[in-house]
Order: sequence, then structure tokens, then C-alpha cells
Amino acid sequence: MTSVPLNAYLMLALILFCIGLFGALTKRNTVIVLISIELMLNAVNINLVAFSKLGMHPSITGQVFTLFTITVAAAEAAVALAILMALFRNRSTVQIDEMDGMKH
Amino acid sequence: MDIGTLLSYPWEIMMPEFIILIAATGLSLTDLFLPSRVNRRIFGWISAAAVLAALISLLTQAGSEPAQILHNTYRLDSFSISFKALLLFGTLLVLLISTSYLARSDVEEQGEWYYLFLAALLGAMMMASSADLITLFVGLELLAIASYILTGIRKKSAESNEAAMKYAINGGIATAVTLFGFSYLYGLSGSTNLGDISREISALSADHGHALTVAAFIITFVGLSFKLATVPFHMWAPDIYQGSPLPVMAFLSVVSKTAGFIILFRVMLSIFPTVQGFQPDESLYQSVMIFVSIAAGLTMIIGNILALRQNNIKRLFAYSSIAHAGYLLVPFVAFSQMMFESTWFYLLAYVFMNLGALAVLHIIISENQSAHISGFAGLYQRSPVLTVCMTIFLLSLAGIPGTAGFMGKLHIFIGALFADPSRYVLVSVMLVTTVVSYIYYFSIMLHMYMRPPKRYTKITWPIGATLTIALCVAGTLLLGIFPGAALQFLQEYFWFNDMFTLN
Amino acid sequence: MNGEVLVFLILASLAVIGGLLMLNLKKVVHMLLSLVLTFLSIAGLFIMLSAEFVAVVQVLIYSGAVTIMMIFGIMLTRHQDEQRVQKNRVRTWVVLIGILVFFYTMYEAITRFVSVEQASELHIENTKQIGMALYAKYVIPFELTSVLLLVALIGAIVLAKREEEEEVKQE
Repeated sequence: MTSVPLNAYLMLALILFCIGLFGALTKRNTVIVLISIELMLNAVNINLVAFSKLGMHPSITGQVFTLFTITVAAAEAAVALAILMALFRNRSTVQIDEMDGMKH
Repeated sequence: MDIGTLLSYPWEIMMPEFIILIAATGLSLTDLFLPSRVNRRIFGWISAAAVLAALISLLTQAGSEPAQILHNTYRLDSFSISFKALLLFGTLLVLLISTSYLARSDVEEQGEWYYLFLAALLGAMMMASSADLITLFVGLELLAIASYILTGIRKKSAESNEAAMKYAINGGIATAVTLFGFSYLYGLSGSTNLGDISREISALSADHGHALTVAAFIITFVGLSFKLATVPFHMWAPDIYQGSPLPVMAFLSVVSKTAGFIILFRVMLSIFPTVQGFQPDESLYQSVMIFVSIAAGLTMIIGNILALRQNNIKRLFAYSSIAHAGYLLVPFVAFSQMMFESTWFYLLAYVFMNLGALAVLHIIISENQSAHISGFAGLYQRSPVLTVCMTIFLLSLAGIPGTAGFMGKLHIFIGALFADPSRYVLVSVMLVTTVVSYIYYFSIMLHMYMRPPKRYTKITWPIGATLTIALCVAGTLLLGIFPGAALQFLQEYFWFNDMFTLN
Repeated sequence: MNGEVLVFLILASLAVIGGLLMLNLKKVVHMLLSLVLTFLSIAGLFIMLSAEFVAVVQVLIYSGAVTIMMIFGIMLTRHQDEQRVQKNRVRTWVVLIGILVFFYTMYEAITRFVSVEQASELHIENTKQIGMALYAKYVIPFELTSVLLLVALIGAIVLAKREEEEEVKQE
């Protein structure tokens, strides 16, 4: 092996994506769910940057795409936290399964 | 790139988007400098006027040749013009309902409300007009983030907070999954331009990246199906719809749904029909359709059955909205010649009937200060006109002949039955679930006509909601009795195949 | 064993360890710190992939701004130090199995993928290349992102601000 193959990066991204997905679907504290989503988005970024260098058609586009996803992810996290603030002020809880005000 | 090249692009094709952008920016600045005691209701009329202006500007572009700026990051073709018209028209009606809603609600940030709607609309419009993954993604997120904020803007309502939080989390997960699929699409082709992606992926040999392509398709579809609120993302949709303010619910059920279909069509249809599927002689599209048809079928079944138990009318309409998303997936599965037309027509019909019904819902909910279905009791005796309007909308949603809803469903049935292969299982599911939906739509009518009213006060008709109801009744009846007019307009000006001339 | 492979293995393990620690630790602040470990190792991987600008942005924004924002989120919402033990066991197992199935499917797909490495010029004036692409080819999504950031800013202010003015106005 003279260098790290693309598949290794893709596997790493897949592992991180699965860890993040598991956290987002099972954790009860909302902030932890939000950071799990950030972990998933990081996995996407690894994919994009790896493809930009080691893929079939290397180009700078992957890195530009990554910049956009980082920006949008940060903006979304900010809004989600603001919503959490508003929620917490009203109900003093951040646990997801306590958010059951609307039942069938 | 120097300024000369930059200015030489045909920027005037972006006129509708520029109108919305200038309106949104102008309103936000005005909101900043205007003293807070000035009623922000004027913003509603200004933003509605801006949307109308953009719609007119858009319609003047109908029938023009496909044009694009900067490697298809902005692309104007029949698909984008026709679907943007739906987005603009839907938002116009939602803004009209907003003017009535805000007068009676406890939302303080009324200026923000209007320009957030315009920003969401801008995101959806840019998404409709793009054949590039990055622009699609940014447009999608702009729509999403503005929607999260609008869902939670009633800060004092616990229901609203909860709805916004669930929407943000659900949306965040969906974004991450969609992007994961997009990253593979980029990786397999080296470009974010949909035309290039299509070309490169079909050139990939079967043993090289084939499995990964199929995986990318499924992952992207699962992520995008969130916007449509289909199975498996239907679980929190009713909570989100129920907790959000009514105009936001209207926006989500109509405009967001249209935007979801826009991005689904753009991404899926540009890339995947040319890729080889599991068998050598069929395309990937056909191989994977079984999953999509199961999703469509389950959505129709679950949406309609769960609506039967609802007593809260907002929640009932949420499930109805889920069911309609299922109906709308059927043309996508069928992949017939009429796919675009069926979807476009049904979405147009849905704009009319759903927004009209929600405008009536607004009047009822604010009269009774409750969203229980008994608020409809005895409506016929209190206001026969309102009852008749609501009846028209309900008949259309159920798909009774003479209304737009019936024509829309008929179009979908025909398209699916004459597709190759014929999708008769899906069509029969659609028929059965439509009959099931009669039950809950008719129960509302039962309340309106048969039950005695609780109070005999006169019902006031706020201007915005009245305008909306009038337009929607007209639209529902006209489309139901003369569907040919709309379809002919569509066929004359829009040649949907030019979406595929991506280069 | 090549130096590059060694560095990759170290950084990749750190990233995965950070992620797994995040899932298993009990205190929320510790979970965040393990995620910072992941972010920083990913930045290291970006540098290995000739993406120096993106690596710096990753450090600044993810391990800087986003982490601090999350810490604020935790501190201002009276974080619970301990996660309660009663989780929904069934749901956790169902999700875990679903994810493992997904992982296995993708693993098969990825290992079948063969790509030939070609020479790339990404490391030559990396920032300049990004600038050329961003402002020439992608200027439309760039401007749209600026609208998105403005909307997020307005939204965050609208949603999170306190209503002290209410009691003063007495309307």
C-alpha cells in the first residue's frame, strides 16, 4: 500500500454516519440529538472531500460543496438551539420523550 | 471571471426571484425602521402584491426556450416555470390567510412573519430552478430553516414549541441523510451538475460503482421523502401540523409538499432513468420502483386510516395531507407520459381545495377558540354560505365528480393504469383509501348540517380569509367542470421533456 | 507500513473513538468534549486530503463555533448531568439492528467500488482554487447562502429573545 485508498475514507465516513444516526434516533436529551446530527453532517463532509481528491474525477467541487454544508449545518444548529431555548422557557424540559403534549 | 463575463449572463430570467428577494429585503428593512405601534398588516398586503408581481413576471416567461446561468446552477425550463407558478400561487393564498390570522393571534413578530414566508418562498423557487446539487441543497435548506422558525414563532404556546422542535430535529436528520446520498452522487461523477452526473453514472460499468449508485438512490429518496411527509417520515408530521400556526400548516401542507416533489423529480428523473438496474435490460428506476410503490401505498393507507379517529380538525387535516402525499406519489411510480401533468394538475387542485378548507378552518377555530370537530356543529344554520363553500372543498378532497379533486384523481388513475407495466395494485389501493376518506370528510359535513349549533352568533368574515375562500371555490369548481382549460394551457406552453436537455 | 497509512489509522481511530465515547458517556459536557476530539481528527484527515482551507474552516466552525453554541445550549437549559437509565429498550435495539443492516449493505457496496487514483492539483494554491470556483461558478448558491444565514440570524433572535418588554409595555 503506497497510500490510503478511497474506500477507507468512505468506510470511516459510513461508521461515523451510523454512530450519528444511532445517537439521533435513540438519545433523549435534545442537545445530544443535535450534536449527533452534526456528526452525521461531518461524515458527509469526509465523503465529499475524499471524493474530491481520490474519486474518479478529482476536482475542487467537493471542497466547495463541503464549505456550503458546513455553513448550512451551523445555521441549522443555531436555529434548532433557539427553538430549544424557547421550548425550555415554556416547559423546563429538554428530554424528547417529555414532549408529548399532542396526543391522538 | 471578470465582471464583463459575469454581467453577460441572462440575469433577467431570474426576475421573479429578484422580485421576491427585493420584497423580502425591503420589508425587513422597513420593519426595522418603522415604529412598533404601526400595524404590520400592511406588510401582508405588500408581500401578497410582491408574490402576485412575481407570478405575473413568471407567466410572461412561459413558453420560452430553456435557459441557464452558470452551469445550470440556475435553470429556466418548463418544469421550473410550471411548478414555480404553483409555489407562488400557493404562497399568495397563504399570505392572504395570514393577514386574517395574525389579526386574531398572539404572534408578536408580525413583520418577521411576512418576510420569513418570502424567504421560504425564495428558497423553494431557487430549488425549482436549479439543476445543480449545491443550489438544490441550499434552496431546500432555506425553505426548511424559514419553516422551522415560522412553526415555532408562537413562543408562548407549548404546542407550537414542541412542533418546531420536532420539525427541526426531523428535518435535521432528513437533511443529513439526503446529503449523504448527494455526496455519493457527487463522488460517482465528479460534478454537482445534474446533467454531468447523469452522463457519468450511466457510463459507470456495472461492477464498478453500481451497488453504490443503487445505494445512493435509495438513501437520497429516503431523505427527500421527509419533505413529502410520506412513510417512514409520517410519524411526527401530525404533531408538527397540529402545533404550528394555521397559515404555517397551510404552507407546509401545500408549498413544502410541492417543493418536495420538485426536488424529487429533478434529482431522480435527471439521473436515474438512464442507469442500469438490477437486471441488465431494465433501468434502475424500474428496479427500485417496488420500494417507492410500497411507500406510496403505505402512506395512503396509514394517512387515511389514522384520520378516522381524529377529533381535532387540525390533526385530521394533517393526516389528510399525508394521504394526499401518498396519492401524489402514484404518478411518480407509474412513470408514464402523463407523470408531470398528473402531478402538476393534482397539486394545483390540492392548492385550491386544501387552502380553501384551511381558510374555513381558520374562521371556525378562531370563532370557537378550539380546534375540536364539534366547532363545525350547526354551521349551516349560522352561515349557509360558509357551509356550502366548505362542502365544495370537502367534496373535492374526497374526490367526488364535479370538483377539481375528482379530475385530479381521475388523471392519476388513467396515467397509472396505462403505464407500462400497469400499476393496478397501487390504483386499487388508491381507490379503496379514497372511499375510506369519504368517512371522515363526510363526518365534518354531518356536523355542519345535522348537529345543532352551540351558539347562534353571526360569523364574521375577515377579508384575507374571504378572498382566499372565494378564489379557492372558483378554482375548485372551474377545474372540476372545465379541466381542459388548465390541461390545454399546460400542454401548449410546457414541454416537460426539455428538463432532460441538461448540458 | 507507510507513514501516511499510519497517520490515517491514528486519525480515523480517534474520530471513531470520539463518536463512540459520545454515545456512551454519562455527562452531557463530556459527550461534547469527545465530539470535539472527533471534529479535530476530521480536520487532520482533511489536511491529508489536500483540503487545507476546509480543514481550517472545520476547526474554526465546528470545533469552535458549533461546540460553543452547544455548550451554551446545555448550560442555559439546566442540563441533566446524568442520563436516566430507563430508556426504551425495545426501540434502542430495533434502531441498532436497523443501522447494522444499513451498515452491512453499504459496506458491501463500498468494497465493490473501485476507483483509480489520479494526480490532482488540489494542493497547489488550494484557497485560490476554492475562491475561483466559489465566486465564478457557484456565485448563485453563494448569494443564496447569505440569505439563508440572514434568515437563521433573524430566526434565532426572534425565537430566543426574552420578553421583558412585555411587562413594561402593559398592553
